[in-house]
Amino acid sequence: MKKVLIFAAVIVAAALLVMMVGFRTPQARKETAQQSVLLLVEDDTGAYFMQLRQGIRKALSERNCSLTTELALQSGRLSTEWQGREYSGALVFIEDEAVRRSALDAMAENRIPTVTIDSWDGLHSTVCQDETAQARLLADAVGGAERVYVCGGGETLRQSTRIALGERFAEEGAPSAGENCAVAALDPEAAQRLIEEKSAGLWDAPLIAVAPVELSAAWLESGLVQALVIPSPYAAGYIAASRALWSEDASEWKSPAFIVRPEDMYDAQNVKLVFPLLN
Amino acid sequence: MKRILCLALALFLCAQGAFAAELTVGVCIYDNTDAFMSSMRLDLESYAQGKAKLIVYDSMNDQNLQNDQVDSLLRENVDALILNPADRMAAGYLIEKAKQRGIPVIFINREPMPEDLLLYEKAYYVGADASQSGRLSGEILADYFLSHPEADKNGDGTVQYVLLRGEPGHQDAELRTQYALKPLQSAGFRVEKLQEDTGMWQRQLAQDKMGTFLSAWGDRIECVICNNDEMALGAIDALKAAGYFTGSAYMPVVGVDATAPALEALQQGSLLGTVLNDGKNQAQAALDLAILLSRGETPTAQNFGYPITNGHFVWIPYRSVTREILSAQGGGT
Amino acid sequence: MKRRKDAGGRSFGFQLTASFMACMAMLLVFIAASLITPLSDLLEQNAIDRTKETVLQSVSTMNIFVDRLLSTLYFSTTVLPDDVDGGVDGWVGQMNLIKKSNSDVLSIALFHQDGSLLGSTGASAVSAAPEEIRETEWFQKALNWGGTVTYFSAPHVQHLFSGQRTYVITLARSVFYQKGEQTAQGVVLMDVEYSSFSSLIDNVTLGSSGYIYVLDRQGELIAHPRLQLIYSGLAEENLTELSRFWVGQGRDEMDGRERVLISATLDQTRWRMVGVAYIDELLALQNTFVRLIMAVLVCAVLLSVAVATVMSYRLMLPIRRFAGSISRVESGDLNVTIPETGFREVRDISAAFNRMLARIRALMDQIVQEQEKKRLYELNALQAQINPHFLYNTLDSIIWMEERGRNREAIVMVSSLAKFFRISISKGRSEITVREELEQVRNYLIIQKMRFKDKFTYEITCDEAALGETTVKLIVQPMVENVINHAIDETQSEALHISIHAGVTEDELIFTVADDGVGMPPEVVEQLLVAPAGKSGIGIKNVHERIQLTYGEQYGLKVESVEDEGTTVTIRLPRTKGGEAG
Repeated sequence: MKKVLIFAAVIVAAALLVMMVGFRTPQARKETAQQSVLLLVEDDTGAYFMQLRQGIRKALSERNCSLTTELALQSGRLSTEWQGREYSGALVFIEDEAVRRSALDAMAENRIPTVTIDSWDGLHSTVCQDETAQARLLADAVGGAERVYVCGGGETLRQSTRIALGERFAEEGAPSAGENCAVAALDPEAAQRLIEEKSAGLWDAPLIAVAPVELSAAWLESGLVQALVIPSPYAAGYIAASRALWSEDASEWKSPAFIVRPEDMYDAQNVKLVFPLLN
Repeated sequence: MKRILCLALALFLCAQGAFAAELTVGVCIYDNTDAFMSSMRLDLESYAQGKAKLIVYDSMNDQNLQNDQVDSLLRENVDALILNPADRMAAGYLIEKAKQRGIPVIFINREPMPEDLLLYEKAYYVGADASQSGRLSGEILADYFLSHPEADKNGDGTVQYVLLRGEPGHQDAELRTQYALKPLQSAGFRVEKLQEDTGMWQRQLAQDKMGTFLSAWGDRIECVICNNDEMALGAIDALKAAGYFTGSAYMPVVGVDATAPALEALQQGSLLGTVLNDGKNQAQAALDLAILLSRGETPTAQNFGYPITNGHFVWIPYRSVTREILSAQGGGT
Repeated sequence: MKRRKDAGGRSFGFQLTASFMACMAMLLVFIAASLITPLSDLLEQNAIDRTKETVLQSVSTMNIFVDRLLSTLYFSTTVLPDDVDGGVDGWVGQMNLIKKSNSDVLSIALFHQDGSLLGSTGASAVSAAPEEIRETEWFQKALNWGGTVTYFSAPHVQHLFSGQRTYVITLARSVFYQKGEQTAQGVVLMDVEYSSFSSLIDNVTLGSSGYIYVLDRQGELIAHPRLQLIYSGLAEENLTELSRFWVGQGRDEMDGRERVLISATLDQTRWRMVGVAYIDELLALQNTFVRLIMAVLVCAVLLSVAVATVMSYRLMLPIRRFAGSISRVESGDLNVTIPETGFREVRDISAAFNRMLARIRALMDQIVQEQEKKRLYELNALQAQINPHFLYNTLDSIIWMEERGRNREAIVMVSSLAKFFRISISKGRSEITVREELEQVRNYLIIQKMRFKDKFTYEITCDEAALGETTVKLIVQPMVENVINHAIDETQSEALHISIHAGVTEDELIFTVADDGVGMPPEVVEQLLVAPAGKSGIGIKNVHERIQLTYGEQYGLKVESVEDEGTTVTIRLPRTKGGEAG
């Protein structure tokens, strides 16, 4: 009898265990303490930054994270206001190398996984403008021109452009009349200068530029540029806060660029690049 | 025992076959509380006797409800659809659905965009050309003004009118309004709009609006143009309250639809004229077309008794109704 | 105490447990199966219906918004000046008032059918030439549709009015107005802030990942929570399924997750609003439900196992006890009384068994009794034979013969006596051969003959076959002694003749002792077998009883007597050797 009772008791215990497991109410989605991400910038104005942050915000809202923006002080030190909170990640968008360095060090000190934007140091994941693609788009835009005078731009972009254009690549210079050529400006200052030159009538040739978003609309409508290669900071921000930030190893992500011509600048696709939704 | 079973099975299959031979037509009415559509539904049902089985739904003025009803009809494998959309713009999607199934779809009373009908060779619209109804009501007025010069009260050769519009944006309201004035102009009169407002097809609202008109313009109003009979009757109510239609005070009022109360008003002399929206013929045309098409036949002059315009439209003409026409017919339609 | 091996075979207790469990399991599975499918279908349909309700709610909100815009636009067409040649400032003023009270509206403008701007709230001039305006879609469509249909654009940046670059949805509608003497056609354009539309879908969630979006008749996205990502190429929306069912309900899959699509039409715009919900989220409740039912099922099965085991054990207890008691009986303890407890059936068996045991005990007692009686009778017979009278008389005879010198006769008498007693005792055996029995009688008669001389004659005959048969000893001689004691009549001159015969039939051994003496009356014959041993010694009753005790009641002796003629005693026994066994 005793053996039987023990056996029965064991089975009843098993049954109770099953009940407890089965009746466990689906863990009411534990309000996972909302994660927070830090964004460190030098300058929180400007259309480029606005779009970048919008992209970041979109990515974070999909993951139920919040964003805190902090300015990096010019002196190279960071304001300490951001401390005292737990951050699951940080995004650094600082051009000045020294300031950036100290920001990255501060993040490393606090063991916050960091992603840099538009700067690659091999240690952190980064989202950079896809200069190869930009150069290619430029090369497509110049079409049949036999010679392209390339002005301005950083080392890497000039290099990519050199590769993309091949023999057609030429250093900065003014085109002569009747020459089958084009002029490419790789940075906003060069573009501004060239537009002024062209509108003053100093020369006449198709002008292509890599343009920041805030000037694109005016330049396209001015009729002086044939095409603009516009990087997409919104996409850059989205990629940074979605894929880069949660990836395991440091890798370089490319943010896409688009080419826009005056005739299609109002297409639904392009209009969002040329006229960003700022809010 | 086995033999009995076989016999029963055979009979059952035959019965199924017999039922399958009868056509099923799915019908959706945009709103059963609409008097005109309600009576058209009755026309459809009585005409269908012995020709086809009808499955009729009331869409309660909710297009998405109608979308579900169409899905349900398609699941029941109807042979044709007769649809009266709540939102005529949504018709395109319903045409796509019918096209996918290869079954004919005939729209009634609310006209889809022509570009939607052109998508599918078995999509048709059976209705009345609203511009015609406007023109006919205008003609009644024109005839009146021509035969009663005293109707131009201030003798300025201009007809001062007030207009009671149907639902804003409604195709019938727009077209009737536009075309009602043309016959007057063709008859040589100028037209001056004193005021217009919408009565939303309703009698009470029209009465209120007419009251406003009367307060504002009083006797200067020379005629009242209404997009439908209900509003015309509302206007008449307001006019009666203001003393018209007793003694010699008269105001020409025209409407559209030729509903029973309107015909009564015609007889009484308060309503000048109305235009019959021939729902009965529309129903018959729609059903004939549905049956023809679902049998795989092409409608021709031989097998289909109504003319087809532009390959997709069957216009059933409106008919003017005045007291004279009524008495000539011997009363009633 | 040796226990016999178990007979083997299946345990009833186990069978009971197993059947009970099988029944429970079948019942539970049946219940679960018939519950789970319809209920989980119901839950799934319920979840989808609720999602649909949310979508229709948003549809309703959008419809109301669009309706308001259309009323505004319509109103703008009803307040056109009597003659536009006289200027449209009044109209523009009214439009500005509308704008103030309706923050969604950005600009309202009136264009002539040749494309020229008649007036607008935005600016006094547009940045496009009339020819360009005539080419625009909104202008062309609005004119074509002749005032009964309003054109709705996709979201775009309105760049007609210099200085303005905002996302709008453009509504356009044809109007008729007086221009001088003629009725002319024109177009009223109304720009509405795009964000007013997009905000209607932005905060709607279906489940935790679901959303709604809007697309137009051509499949272009009007509003989508990820519109900017889609334009940047970072995300996409799957529209293929929509062109399969257009409006209603459908399913598709994206990124490995199955989704429900609910497509509804939006009034007046030719747009559709599509709700996307993820099935795995919708079915969370269903999954919980199924898990619950499974848990209950498993639990119930386990509990039923426990209950079945305990119950069957308890049921089997009396039976086991019963089996135990029987084992004790088997080991030889016949005095066991099985407790009559437990279930009725078990009690019945126990009682019956007890009765059976009692009967066995009684039978055994009876056997013991009978054995004892047999022994007793034997002893009596033996005692009788060692009858002092016979012994004294015979010894006296021997002495007398010795005294007269008749040694030979004395020797015969002594040896006969010795043989007589030797066979009587027969080394303690109860059964001897017929030959020996007859030998004893002969020895007896030799002695008695010497004493009674001519008083009687005798002959002893035996069937050849009977000689070897077995018989109870001491049955014939007492009969003969009876004859000698009673049948000899002093008065008779004729000698009594005694004939003793042993014979066999097919299955019986028959002794007959017959005499032709005085006989007995019937009453005496009757009494013989029942009267207690009287002066005749052990007598007929003794012999009869012993025979019956040993061989059964169908054997024994029978006395037939006719007065003055003689008496015959027949002793019947079963044959034990040869023939049919008795």
